[in-house]
Amino acid sequence: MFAIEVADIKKVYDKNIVGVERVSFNIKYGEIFGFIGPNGAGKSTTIRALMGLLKVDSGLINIEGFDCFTEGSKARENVGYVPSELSFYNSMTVRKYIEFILKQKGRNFERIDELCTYFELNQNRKTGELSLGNKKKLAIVCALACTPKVLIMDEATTGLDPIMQQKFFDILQKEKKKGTAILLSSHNLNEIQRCCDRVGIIKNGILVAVKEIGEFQNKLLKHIVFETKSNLLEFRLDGMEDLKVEGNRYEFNFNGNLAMLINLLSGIDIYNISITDVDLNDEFLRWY
Amino acid sequence: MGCKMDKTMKKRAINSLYCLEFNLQKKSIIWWFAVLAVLLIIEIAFYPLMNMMIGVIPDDVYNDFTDAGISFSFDSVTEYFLLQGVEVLALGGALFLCCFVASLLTRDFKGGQSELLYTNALNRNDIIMTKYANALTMTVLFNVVMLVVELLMMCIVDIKGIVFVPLITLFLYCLILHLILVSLVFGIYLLKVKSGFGIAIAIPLLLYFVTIIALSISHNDALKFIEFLTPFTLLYEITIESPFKVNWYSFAIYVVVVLAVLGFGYKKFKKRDL
Repeated sequence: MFAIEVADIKKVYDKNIVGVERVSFNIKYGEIFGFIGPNGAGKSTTIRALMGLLKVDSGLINIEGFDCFTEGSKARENVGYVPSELSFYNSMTVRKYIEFILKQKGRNFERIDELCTYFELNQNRKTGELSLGNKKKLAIVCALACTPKVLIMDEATTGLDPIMQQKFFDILQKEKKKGTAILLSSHNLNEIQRCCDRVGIIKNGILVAVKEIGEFQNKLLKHIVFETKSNLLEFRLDGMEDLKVEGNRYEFNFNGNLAMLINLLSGIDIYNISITDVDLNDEFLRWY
Repeated sequence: MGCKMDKTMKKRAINSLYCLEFNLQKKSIIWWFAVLAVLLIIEIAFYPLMNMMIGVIPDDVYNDFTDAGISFSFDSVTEYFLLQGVEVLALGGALFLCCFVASLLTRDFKGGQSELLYTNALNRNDIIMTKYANALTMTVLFNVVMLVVELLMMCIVDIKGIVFVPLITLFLYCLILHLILVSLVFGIYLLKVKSGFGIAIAIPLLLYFVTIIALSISHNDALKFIEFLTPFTLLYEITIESPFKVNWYSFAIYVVVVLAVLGFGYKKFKKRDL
């Protein structure tokens, strides 16, 4: 069973504004899935649907086998959630707030001290007095303190300093090893590439690509552009993706057998060629 | 790692949410209680002065008022309170309780805390029921506290003039009135969770002014139906001689209206996007 299952969901808001359409992905236990896209692409809509804050118009959306809207309380029992917009009850202290959230989740208070020490959070301060970075830390502590099986984090590192970001990634890796399924939405492509196993790219409400991060890290994926004087009737090879042809200019990504590719290219009258490693930034910009 | 939420944990979660609401509005509640209690105290403290003023009205003027159906003779502080004190209790309490309900439901959405409250293991049903329980508890608490304040003040002003049966009936009918208004406003705010306090203030004020109109034209048979448009008329028929008299038609109409609004609001809230 997948921890998170999203199958062909669609959500249209009032005035026919499409939130998401044809979004499908699954996340296994012990996996970190990155979710990237610009503002208004549909990331928050997808996450809010997962958290039961809105009902999708069609499609399947489950956490641990429970529908996120009709069986929301069961779906969220083992979920730790960090929203992008943070707002707390200002008069409560950090400690009291975390205890309140843990009671709402039916958890004990075992991990509070450990996590607050780890993230250097003062438990006696009122939540209304916290800076943005400290509010983020508080939200992260609340999500982790409930020993979740699923973590859903919407721009969790916004406002964190580089040291806290590193601590955050370290603890994510520990959670991953414990078997926690993690959905991490972010604008920061470097952090996604650094810690995720797979990444989904969303554009205008549609999930346009899901890639293994290993393809980028192991430099297996190459971006090739060449220009030829010949007219090629057919140009095809296993491992070739997203071929674009404009006149005599050929552009594509390749993660197949390089020797076979070089063999094929050597038979073509090429007068200009560029071969570069594809990183996540390139892949993202390709869709925009 | 992870665990299932059993009944004990769920009860603990609901209790902590229930207590949270009172903690968050602690200062506001104390201020409202203090202000309304002071108003009641002043109202009752005026009784000896009012009696003195009535004593110096010339008989012919007094008879003219009585012929016009306006009676203001008070043989006891209880009778005085049944005529004069009801406004502070009924309207003042209604305004406070309706604003309390508005805050219960809208604060989370306007302040942004809804993302954290509605994404935990309690479902929407549990959260809404807990908030409704908060509203009902506050209604009962308010009326009990005001009853105690009334009785204490009456003991100081005219202890022999205390007649318990109509005062207890007034307390009960006022409690019912407030429960009706609180439930009505609760149902409306389930439909309009991001609204301001305007609805909470407008509804009791509007219904109260309809009551004033209904009482003013009580001799006009054609417009008598107006008294059924407002639940405040529950309170205006209680006298020392007839402490149990109540406008049951108005009560029945409002129970039906409130159940319909609550049911509709609840059904819509369960399905809405938050």
